[in-house]
Parts: sequence; C-alpha cells; structure tokens
Amino acid sequence: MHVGPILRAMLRNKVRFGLLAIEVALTLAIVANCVSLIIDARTELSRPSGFADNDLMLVTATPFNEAFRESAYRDTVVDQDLTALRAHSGVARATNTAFLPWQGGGSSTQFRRDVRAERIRTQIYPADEQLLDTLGVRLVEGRNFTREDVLRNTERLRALNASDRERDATGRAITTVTVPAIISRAYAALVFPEGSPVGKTFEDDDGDRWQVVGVVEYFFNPYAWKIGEYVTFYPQRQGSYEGGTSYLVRVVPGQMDAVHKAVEQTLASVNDTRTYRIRTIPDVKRRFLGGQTLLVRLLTLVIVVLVFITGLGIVGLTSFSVAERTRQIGTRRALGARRGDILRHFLIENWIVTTLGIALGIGLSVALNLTLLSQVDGARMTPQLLAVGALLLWAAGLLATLWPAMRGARVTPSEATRNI
Amino acid sequence: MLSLSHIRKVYRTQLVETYALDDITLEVDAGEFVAVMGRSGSGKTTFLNVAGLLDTFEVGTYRLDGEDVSRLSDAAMSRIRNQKIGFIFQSFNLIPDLDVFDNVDVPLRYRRLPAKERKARVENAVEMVGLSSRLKHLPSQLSGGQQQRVAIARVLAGDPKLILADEPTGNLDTLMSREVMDLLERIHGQGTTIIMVTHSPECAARAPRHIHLLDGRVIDTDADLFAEHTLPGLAAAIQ
Repeated sequence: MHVGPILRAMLRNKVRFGLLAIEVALTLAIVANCVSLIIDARTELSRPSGFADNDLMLVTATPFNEAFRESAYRDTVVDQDLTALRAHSGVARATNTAFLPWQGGGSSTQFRRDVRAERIRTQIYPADEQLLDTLGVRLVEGRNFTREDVLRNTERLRALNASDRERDATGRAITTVTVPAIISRAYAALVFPEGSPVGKTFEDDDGDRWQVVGVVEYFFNPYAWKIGEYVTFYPQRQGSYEGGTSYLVRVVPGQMDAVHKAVEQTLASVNDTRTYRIRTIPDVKRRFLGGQTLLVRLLTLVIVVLVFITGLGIVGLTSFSVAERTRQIGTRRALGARRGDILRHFLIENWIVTTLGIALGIGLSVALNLTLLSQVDGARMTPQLLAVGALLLWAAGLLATLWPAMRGARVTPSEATRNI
Repeated sequence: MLSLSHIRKVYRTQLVETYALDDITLEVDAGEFVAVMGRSGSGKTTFLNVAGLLDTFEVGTYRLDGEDVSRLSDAAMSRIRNQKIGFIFQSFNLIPDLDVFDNVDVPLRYRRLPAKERKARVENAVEMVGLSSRLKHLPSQLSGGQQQRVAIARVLAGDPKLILADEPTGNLDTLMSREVMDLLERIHGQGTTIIMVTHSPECAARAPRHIHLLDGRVIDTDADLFAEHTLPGLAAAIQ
C-alpha cells in the first residue's frame, strides 16, 4: 500500500483536500442529525395510541337552539342521540365525550399523593361508563365507571361549579369531595411506584381526593408536554351549549363509510336544530401527523441532496485530479504501475479525505446534536447512528471516486513521453 | 538485449493512416549505448514507446532480454517496464508533490519490495547522483539538472537492464547536459544497455552507435556524424 507517500503528497495540497474533508464533515453532521430527527419523528408516527383508531369516528353536534343552554334538556338529547347512534347496525359503541384523540392537546392538571409530595402532570378527561370500551383501551386493574358513578358525580360537580366554594387561607376548599378516577398504568407508576394503585388516593390543588378505581393498560394521546401516556379519567356526563356535544363512535370494522353517511341523518332525526361535523379518527390522525410526515420527507430529501452534492464534490475533485495529473499517471504507468495501482491510488486518496472528514464530522455531529437538544426535544446521537452515517459517506465517497478513478486507470503509459 | 523485427505502428484517424514506425528491424546487444536520431515526426518517440512497452504495435515481433514481448497483457508489460526498463524523460517527469526520496521510491513500491530494501536502494541511488543532501527536497526546490539527476537516480534504484532516455538533456543548459551525459556514460560503463533519443549531435557523439530514423524507417545505422553522410536526405534529417 502507498498510503505514506499519498498522505505526504496530500499534505502538500492541504486547501484542496481540506475543503473536501470539511464538506464531508458538515455532511455527516447534518445527515446524522437529520437521521436522528427522522428516527424520532418516525417513532412518533408509528407510536400506537392504544385505541381502535381505524374504527373510530368523532361527531360534533353544535346546537343553534337556546334550549340546549339547559343541562337537563341537553342531557335528554344526549341520551336520545346515543340511543339512536347505538341502534345503527354499523355502530359497535358510542359515547358522549370531551376527550378528542389525536388533536395534539386536550386538558391537563397536576396531582400529588399528599401535600408534601411533588405535583405530577397528567391529561384529564371526563368519561362515562362507555368511553373505555368505545376507545378500545383495556382495563387491567380495578373496575370501569358505572352509570351511577357518572350520574352522581355529574350532579355533584355541577353543584360545586355553580357555587363559590369556601376556601381556607391556602386556597384549599373547606369542604372537599372524593372523586372516582381511572388512570393509565404509566401515570400510576409515577404517582404510586409501589404496589397496586387501586383504592389509593391522590389530591388536586383544591384538596379534593381522587380515588383510583381502575387502571388502563396503555394510553397515548400526543400532547404539548411529555405527558402523552399519562391520563386520569373521572366520571361525568358531557355536553355543552357553546362547544357543542361530541360523540365518539366506534364502528363495526368495515362499516366506516356506511356509518359516516348515516350519522348526520340519525342525529338530525333526534333534534334538527344543530349543525354537525363528522371526522374519522384516521383522518384526524393523518392531519395531526401531517407535519411529522412532511418533516420526515423534507429531512430525507435534505439527506439525499447533501450526500449527492458531496458525492459530486468528490467526483469533481477526483476528475480534476485525473485531468491535472494525466502525465503524472502516465509516468507512474511507465514506471511499472498497473491499472489497479492507479485505481487504488485515487481510492486511497479519497478514502483518506473521507475518513478525515468523517472524523471531523463525528465531533461536529455530537456538537450539533447537543445544540439541537438544548433547543428542541429530539433523539440523542448514538454511536450506531454515527456508524451508519460514516458507512453511508464511505460508500458514497467510494462510489463517487470509482468512475473518475477508472478513467485515470485507463491513462496509457505513453502519456509519459507526450510533449506538452 | 533488444530485437525488433519488421515492426509497424500505425496511427489511424477516420481520414488518415499514419505509419509512425514502418517495417523497423533492429538489434541492440546487451551493454550497447545507442543514440537514436531523426527530425521531429520521424518516429523517434514512437520507437521509444514501443521499445519501452509504453505502447503497442500492429505488426512485427519484439524480443526483449530473450523474451517475446510482442503481445503481452497490460499487467505483464507493466511488470517488465518496472523490472527491466528504466526511463529518463526530457521533462524529468518527477511527481511534483513527492520529495526526492519518495520520487525515487515510486518504481520500487510498484515492485513490492520490502521497505528496508527500498530505503537502501533509494539512498544508494541518490548518493550515486550526488544528491544525498536533497532527499527531502521537492522537485520545485531543485534545478533542472538536479531534477534530471533525481530521475536518473530513480532509474538506478531499479537496477534495470535497459535504460531508455528520451531527450535527456533537452531541457538543460550545456553545463547540466554535460553532467547528465557524464552520468549516463558512467552507468553505461557498468554494463547497462542505453538507448537514447536525442536531437543533440554533442550528446549523440557520446554514444558509440547511432540510428537514424526518417518517416518511421531506419535509414542509417552506425553513421559517423562528423563524416560525409552516406544517404541523400540525411543531412536534413539530423539538422
């Protein structure tokens, strides 16, 4: 191998080869971080919610009838709506809910086990006795809410909200209530790291106690904070005048289109003083994840373009080297170099440049990753990722060198005696 | 050492066929020092290319050191060039980015010699041309004469049986030319066969045997440059 003289000759052309090494380094840094972001985004894209997403439909009925201001009237219509929806042969489950999956947000609050414990944030949604089954989440401990839970708690919460609660100097309510709660296993693991959480209580800032009656196996709903897997459900009927009433409908597999067409007419047959918005969860999910999907495509494009441009740079430099050194190659051939020796010469030369660039790029990648992590959430750079990036650039460098190097290898030894 | 029989080399374009070498037959014995002369376009460089296995030819037979080298593969010709032939070029043909040591080392690396042996050969050859103090110098830091001496050291390090020199003094002044020719004479004195293409009568005069080419043909051998020319047109040929 002729690494020594090749390296020494390259050191006498530092600028030319140095610039290319820097290009390779920058490419590796950007490519490795792009791949890291892509992996992160793809993890989010492929993350399961724990729901029967493909069979779920979200229906929002917004009334323009003042009668809906009355909760009793509203409750009656909601019960009639649910009866009508469940009567459809394509509907497996239907529930009245304020939980709208795949919106990228919802409602959240903080609980703690007691006054001394740290507050831990969780998503929080009202639920009736049908919600868990409609979503398709699995209850692994305790029990589901009963109809009685829902009715009693709805009445109690509405009464509490209707009057100003009497509070002590710290802002906690003088008279508190205990609310049944179903929480996700991930949230249970944080609040009650030891043993089963069923029967245990935690409290909110008012001092109301929340008693765990059930635990669901897995729940994920994307949220601005990293609380996608943490949820607390409490029993309460839904329906409001301003925001309309939302129904989550789980269809029999394969019946999505049929139900979609029938829903509006079904609800209008109950009460025709409302407007309707009907969305399937796959559509909602697609729209929500559209940004991530676009990000993945853009970053992939960035990687392809960057690697291509770097490859072009290597092709350009090697082509220039071959053209510039035609006589030199001829001389080497005259002195006994075989075609393979010339090919190897250029491959070694570019391997050295690429390797130097990769070495620089590894440091640069980690630095860029740390900078990115300090600004946005993302995946940390891993040695495996850097290894893949390095291999990709080595392969690109080799491929880019091959064509001009083969041209160099075809230079005849008689070039040595050609007079300029 | 070198036996060419009815060699023909033709350069073809779409319109023209040019006979660069036309029925060349020539014998050069081992240990001879031959000057090849002729005006521009007479076929001197083509002759050198063919003799040095730098180029192929269409017709004829070429035996080098007892071996028929007429139709060898590219790799086999590379091996023979590397092991049996040393080249000295008009423009020195040193690698500009390599220092003197690495330049002299180039053919030895292609011969896959061990590092220790290469080092000894390089240092010995460079010493023979009087440039031991310039081992780490780049070609650009040397004079023309010194560069040609490095090129000669490159040949010496390989210890070839045949040296082909293409206008070795063509780019040198008189003093430098004399030094280079002195060196070639010394090398010849040690038994090495040398074939030198030259325009210079002074250089040619150092060689005991002369070959004159005209339009790709050998028109005279062993002519005395300082005597009356025996063939019509030779005077023009060697001007």
